[in-house]
Amino acid sequence: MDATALDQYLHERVGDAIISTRDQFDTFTVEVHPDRLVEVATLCRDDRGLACNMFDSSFGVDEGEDGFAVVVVLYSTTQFHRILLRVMVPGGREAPVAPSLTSVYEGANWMERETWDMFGIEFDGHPGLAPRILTVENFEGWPLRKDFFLASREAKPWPGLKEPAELDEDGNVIDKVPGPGGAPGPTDLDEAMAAQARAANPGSVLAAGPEDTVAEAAADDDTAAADDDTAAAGEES
Amino acid sequence: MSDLATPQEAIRPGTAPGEDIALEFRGTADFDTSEMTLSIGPAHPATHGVLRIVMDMDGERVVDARPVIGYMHRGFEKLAEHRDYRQIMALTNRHDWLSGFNNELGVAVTLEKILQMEVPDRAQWIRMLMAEWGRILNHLMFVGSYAIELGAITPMFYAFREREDIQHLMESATGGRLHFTYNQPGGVKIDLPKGFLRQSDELLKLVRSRLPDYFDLVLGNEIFQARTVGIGPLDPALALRYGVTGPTLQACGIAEDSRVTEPYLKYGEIDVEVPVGRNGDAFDRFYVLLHRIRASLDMIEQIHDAMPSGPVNVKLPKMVKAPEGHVYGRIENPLGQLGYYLQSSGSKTPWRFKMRTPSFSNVQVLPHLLRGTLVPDMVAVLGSVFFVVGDVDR
Amino acid sequence: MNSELISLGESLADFDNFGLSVLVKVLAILAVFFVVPLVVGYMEHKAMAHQQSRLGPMEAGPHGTLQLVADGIKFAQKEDIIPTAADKWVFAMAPGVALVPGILVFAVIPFGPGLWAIDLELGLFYALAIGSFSTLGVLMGGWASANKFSLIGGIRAAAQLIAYELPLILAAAAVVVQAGTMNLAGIVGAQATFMIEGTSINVWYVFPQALGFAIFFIAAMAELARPPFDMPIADSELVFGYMTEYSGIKFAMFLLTEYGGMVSMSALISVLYLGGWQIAPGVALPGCAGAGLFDCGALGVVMGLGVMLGKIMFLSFLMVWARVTYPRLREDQLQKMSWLVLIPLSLVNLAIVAVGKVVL
Repeated sequence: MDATALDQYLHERVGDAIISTRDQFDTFTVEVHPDRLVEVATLCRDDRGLACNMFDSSFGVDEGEDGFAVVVVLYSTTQFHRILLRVMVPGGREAPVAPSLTSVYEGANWMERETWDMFGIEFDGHPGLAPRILTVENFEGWPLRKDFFLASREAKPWPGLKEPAELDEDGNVIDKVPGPGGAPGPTDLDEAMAAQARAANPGSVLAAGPEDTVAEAAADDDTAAADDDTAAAGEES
Repeated sequence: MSDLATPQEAIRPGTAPGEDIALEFRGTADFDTSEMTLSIGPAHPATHGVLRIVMDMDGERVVDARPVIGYMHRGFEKLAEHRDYRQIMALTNRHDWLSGFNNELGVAVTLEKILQMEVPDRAQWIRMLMAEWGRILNHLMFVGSYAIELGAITPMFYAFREREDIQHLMESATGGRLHFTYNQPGGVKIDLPKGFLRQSDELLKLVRSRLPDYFDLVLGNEIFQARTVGIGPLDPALALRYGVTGPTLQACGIAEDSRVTEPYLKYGEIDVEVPVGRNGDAFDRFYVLLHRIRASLDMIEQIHDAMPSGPVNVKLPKMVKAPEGHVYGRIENPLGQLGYYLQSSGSKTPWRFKMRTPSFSNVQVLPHLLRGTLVPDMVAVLGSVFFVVGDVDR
Repeated sequence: MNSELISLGESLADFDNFGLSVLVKVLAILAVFFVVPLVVGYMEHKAMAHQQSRLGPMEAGPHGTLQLVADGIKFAQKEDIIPTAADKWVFAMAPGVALVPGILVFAVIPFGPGLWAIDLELGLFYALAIGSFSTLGVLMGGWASANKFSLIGGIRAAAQLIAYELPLILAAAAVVVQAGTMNLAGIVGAQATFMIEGTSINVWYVFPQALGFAIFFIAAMAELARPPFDMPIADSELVFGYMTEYSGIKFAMFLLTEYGGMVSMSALISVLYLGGWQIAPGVALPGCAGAGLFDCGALGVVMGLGVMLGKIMFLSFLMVWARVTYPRLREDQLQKMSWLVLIPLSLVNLAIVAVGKVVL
């Protein structure tokens, strides 16, 4: 079934459970009420017209202040259509609890364990979320949340044995609290290294200034005109 | 599902350093046998990487099996949120390192969906060519490793001989033998070198001529058949509910292949053969694997004939930015269905980049297959459910 | 009627001085035991490699000929690691218990005219009985290693080796019935005088007892735990079975047991079925009396030795070929093959030979 037919079909059957539908970029998404998720998923699986026999995946998305969303991807190998079910998880960011789909599709088991491991979203009705599936058992924090800073440069303390450089005089671990905006972007490190190199070699060709390719690459809002100029200057894009 | 229903306690990580077994003797009432808990892995010759399977065993029979994953978790999805789209393509080469090209292709296809980009024809055909060679690379590896787990040491060397030739060919175009980084949004990085198609054609003939060896030496071998027929049968409906895809699913009799059901690139214009098995046992999975190699070779021949000329990429802005919204793109990885969910907030890095990897679902179904088997069959089953641990853990 | 008792020559090393005799024989056995298995090992490296589309050892010595010598030196200087939880004495003795019987078998095997250490009346019985003693060493190794994988390997080995003793012995028994003697040199002599009924064509026992030959060969491979019967080792499942925890000289001793076993089993097969040191059926060695096999001059002795070694190499090559080609049988399939296939067939073989011996 194509997207409009699916839309109509679903509205006819569980219209009151649907908050909104969206068909964009060849992806049909249905936003449902959290307490009706299991019912809608069961319908998708059992209904002959929808026939979503394959459980593709389920995962979480951090929506910022609104909390978390859980997206479930279902596919039908007989009807060749894909439905994404999306719910906003009740409980906000403090105590998110979502309904579990393990009673409908067995494959949801590990997927929900991973979502819990990465986001901290509890699943109501799941046989056993612990131990943490992808990270270490004693890992602290929920890695894929937006407020969990990427450990590359602003290191979260390693939960194991500490290096001498990480300890202060009394042998306690120096707590490094990452500030907002502390996570580096894709070109920030190059920028930082270029700045370092410039500072270390004053008067050399490195201290050129605005023509520096790295600085330009980090400039925001490129337009086509700007592209042509820089392309003409022989930069690689 | 009853054992999954009991909450799993934290697995004891082992008693002494380097010791990966936890000895537990529990006698049963009727017979005086004692169960023992054996941990296969994380470092074990039979697992394809660092996968650990904790098995409760009664003598040589497996009573229960619980895979423990996460030893190779590298935080790909978190890293992807801090990388721009070209860097993500280089990154995704690495979660399933045996199918590097197909992974980047998946990102490219997904991106082109959300950017609504027109990709030049020649680029599509080149991508298909590379994807099929990459598929053969992957399948050859599993042919070799499956045979060696059952004790047949020779097919591994033959498979690697073929792989070397294919990797050499792909290196001449992409510069890489394992991690290609050849795709970019809107096409491929650079055109094929002169004489590439002729070399590819010769290699096609060579691999074709050597394929009967695998059929005779392995598939037709009576001992191999005795070890794999009827071992680890998988019910198709259960497999679908777990999300199992690829050769493992096709062996159960379901011809679900993205190249046919949701054609991407130019797969709609060539004949794509999808071999299926009948019983979903270990033998059928291997059978499907070998026939997929043959089918890919046939597809490569068609691609050679149809390769058009023209540009191979489009001009890209300095920073590729996806518009706001979300998209789910899916391709057929050699191991199964590889899906990428991309949610963008309009900036140059994604807001959420979920990798739906085939190995994750394939490994999840292992307890069903392993329950009730003997230890040697456990190895046969493990080898037949195709997965790469980097893909499972990302 | 085809097997008259040939008068057997004395061993070449039987001197008047008993002490000298013993010394020469012991040195000769040790020399054979430490040289021929290494040559077989080198042949295995190279044959396996060429069948797998690669070269094999090329660095140590010209074309890698000194590879196993280098391996021996390597093992000698390696650290001997004993797991903390291992049963120390049993762990230490296991390789010895496996190896020594393997050397003792060589005492009765005839390598050519007069080239044997002891000429026992019960030679074959002694060889098979002593050879089966190595099973104890395997079990000891598996148990004492304090490693679950080794334990599984050791138990599999015990079950397998016990199961395959029977076809081995039954097949050998058929040869004994046909030859009329258990003396190994005597069996060789009997084959030299064995004519097909009603003709004067001399054939070796492999011809009338082809079934027995196949059974003995398969059972020998299983006794040695060679692939496709290497479930006790099964390196893709059990890391290395009962040998997992061994390192250094102890590990080398286990390996030597395996190669030495290959040589002794191949030698036994040559003696029992392939006419021993006879070049071809009906062809006498130059300078030999006694059916062209005994009391030979120097040339005859050297040629006889060469023929025996050639047959040993050929049979070892067959074992290597089987290793390269087949995956391994599962333990229960292995047991089924022994109890349900090989033993009935070997009984049939024995019956046919016995009846033929009486009737013909």
